[in-house]
Amino acid sequence: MRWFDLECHQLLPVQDCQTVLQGAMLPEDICRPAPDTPVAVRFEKFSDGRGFTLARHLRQSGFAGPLVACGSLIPDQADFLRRCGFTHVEIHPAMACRWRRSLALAPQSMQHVLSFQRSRGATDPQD
Amino acid sequence: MYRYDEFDREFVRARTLQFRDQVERRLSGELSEEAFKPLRLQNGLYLQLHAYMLRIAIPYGVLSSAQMRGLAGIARDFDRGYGHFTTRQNIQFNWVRLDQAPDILDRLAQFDMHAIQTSGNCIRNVTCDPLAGAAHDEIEDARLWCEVIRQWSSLHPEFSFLPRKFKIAVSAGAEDRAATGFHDIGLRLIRRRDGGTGFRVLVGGGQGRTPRVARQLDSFVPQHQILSCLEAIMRVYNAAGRRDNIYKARIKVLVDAMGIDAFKDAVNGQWREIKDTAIELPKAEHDRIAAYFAPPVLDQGPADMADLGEARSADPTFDRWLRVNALPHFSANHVNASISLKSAGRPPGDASASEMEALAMLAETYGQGELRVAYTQNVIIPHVHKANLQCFHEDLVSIGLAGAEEGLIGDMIACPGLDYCNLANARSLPVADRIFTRFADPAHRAEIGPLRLNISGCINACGHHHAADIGILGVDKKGVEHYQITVGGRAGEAAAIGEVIGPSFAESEVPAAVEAIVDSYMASRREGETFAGFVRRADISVLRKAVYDGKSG
Repeated sequence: MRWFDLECHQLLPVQDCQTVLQGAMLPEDICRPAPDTPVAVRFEKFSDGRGFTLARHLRQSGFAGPLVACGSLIPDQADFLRRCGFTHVEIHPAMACRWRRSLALAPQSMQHVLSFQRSRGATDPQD
Repeated sequence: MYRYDEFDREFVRARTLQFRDQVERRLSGELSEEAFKPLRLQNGLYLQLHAYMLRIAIPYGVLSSAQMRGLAGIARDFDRGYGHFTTRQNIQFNWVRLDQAPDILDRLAQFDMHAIQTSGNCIRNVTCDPLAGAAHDEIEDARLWCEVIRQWSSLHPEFSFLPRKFKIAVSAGAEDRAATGFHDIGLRLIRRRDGGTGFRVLVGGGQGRTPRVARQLDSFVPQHQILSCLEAIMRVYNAAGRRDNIYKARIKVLVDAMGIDAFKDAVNGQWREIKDTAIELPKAEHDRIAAYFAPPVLDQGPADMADLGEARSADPTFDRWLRVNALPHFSANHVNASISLKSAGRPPGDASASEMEALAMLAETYGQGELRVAYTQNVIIPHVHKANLQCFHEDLVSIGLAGAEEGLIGDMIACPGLDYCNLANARSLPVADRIFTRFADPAHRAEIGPLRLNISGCINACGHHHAADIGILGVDKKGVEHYQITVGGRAGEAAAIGEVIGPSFAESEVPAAVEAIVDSYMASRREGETFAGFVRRADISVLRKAVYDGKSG
């Protein structure tokens, strides 16, 4: 297995994670991880989206280190993982092209545009 | 109405390409059905009894005439010439081929429509008051907020793999026309005494096998904090909602299990963290979206009601249509014209391609080139000048859509039932037709007065039978289709769940049972008392006796 970097789309060797969180854990039940050591979140089933909330929670509570998703995931989730704060996903190296392709096909983030302080409407919409 | 800019177009185009890629991978065998299923569902594609079904979102129920024509084209080119308007302001095509689904999405994108999140365990198309922006009793235009929530929830990175589907409704009228009490989250726009507007937030409503009326989470959330509030609710649900049993996975079950107070505390805990952060809608973006929903410029012309009076006394059919289907408008000279997609022989909510085209034309001729789709499976043409109503009605007669059924017994909501759906226990459409035939006289239907009769083919309750004055539920009784009858349910204000009246009926017995209920009500109602009012006042045993005493065997 390798780590696939969700920003630069490269494969990296797997690093040890001292903290491995199960996606099923409730955000309020997890201890604050050490600031810069990698943290893994394990997805039991790709259709079980609890790990996404867990990642958001970690980022909001100030964790800034590497965050890696592992377990059952599909390439079509790449952009969601990235946008929830994951930096890496643990995959079989043969799947890397699928993950790159999925990131290339992902639409831009509607949430990002909606909350952008300068409205995207450069001109009057009634024009 | 909201118009896509380059960003919206690019978003839908990218999503369409992504889906084409997924379908190709499925067809080539690279994706298993198990891996493909959540992906196709998030693009509205279901595998039904006979074929794939594609469900297309009609955000807040608003269509331009051009979009309605576009849908008619899809009905003709990819289906069997029909579309089916659903109870959630979507349209479904029931005879779709998997390999053509990406082409349909391409076609939809050409007129700024899509099927994103019309199914799957994600936030679905937001339900809206179909009269928003045209109603006589609203605080603000609810469509603005539906559009904001549509954008916020579209491909949300955190909430695309929820425990179960998630439905939000927004209503801004004094009357709740969006059934907010029966949604996972219901938002009622209210104005405080100090003039500030915001939302009463309801949570945990729903139908299905565990029907619940939503409970109040917050009596007033200021508008500018609504997105962080929604996000906090979703976060609690995504983390704690059950995933071990799909029948217990909706938020209503979580709210039941935690109790509303503990649920509130959990939401408030999350909310504190994110309130007033970047999640909130910036004012500039609010104003940009709001500008699309500016009130229409209406021709005030002479509203010569005296002429209408003459026409009404000369033509009782026109008079009845006007009384029943011309809904009030914010302008005294205009109405919102409801077009009943209910008649003998027509599955409720079905429209043919040529009917869709005719309606598009009517909206251009008499309205503002805009149509609304109501969750009651009807189409509404807003902003019709009263002076034009007689011509409008004549045109409706000529296309066979002049039924005066709005809110009456003929205005049945029905799910597709066992004729199409692989979840159903029983057929819904033939039962709707039998009831329509039983109450064949339109004058009699009008005399009965407001009465909502809804039919579901199974306990999943897509036909909203729990929320009906008279609800009919298809059940499987030792392999034979049977129907249970409930009374006293209602959507809207003081939402309530119907009560089972007694043992179930064979299909052929249903019309007589319904008739016995209606006759009993008409015999004992007080002056001006609606069916709902009667059920609230009288004991249900009166109706029970009327039904079962007359039943032979």
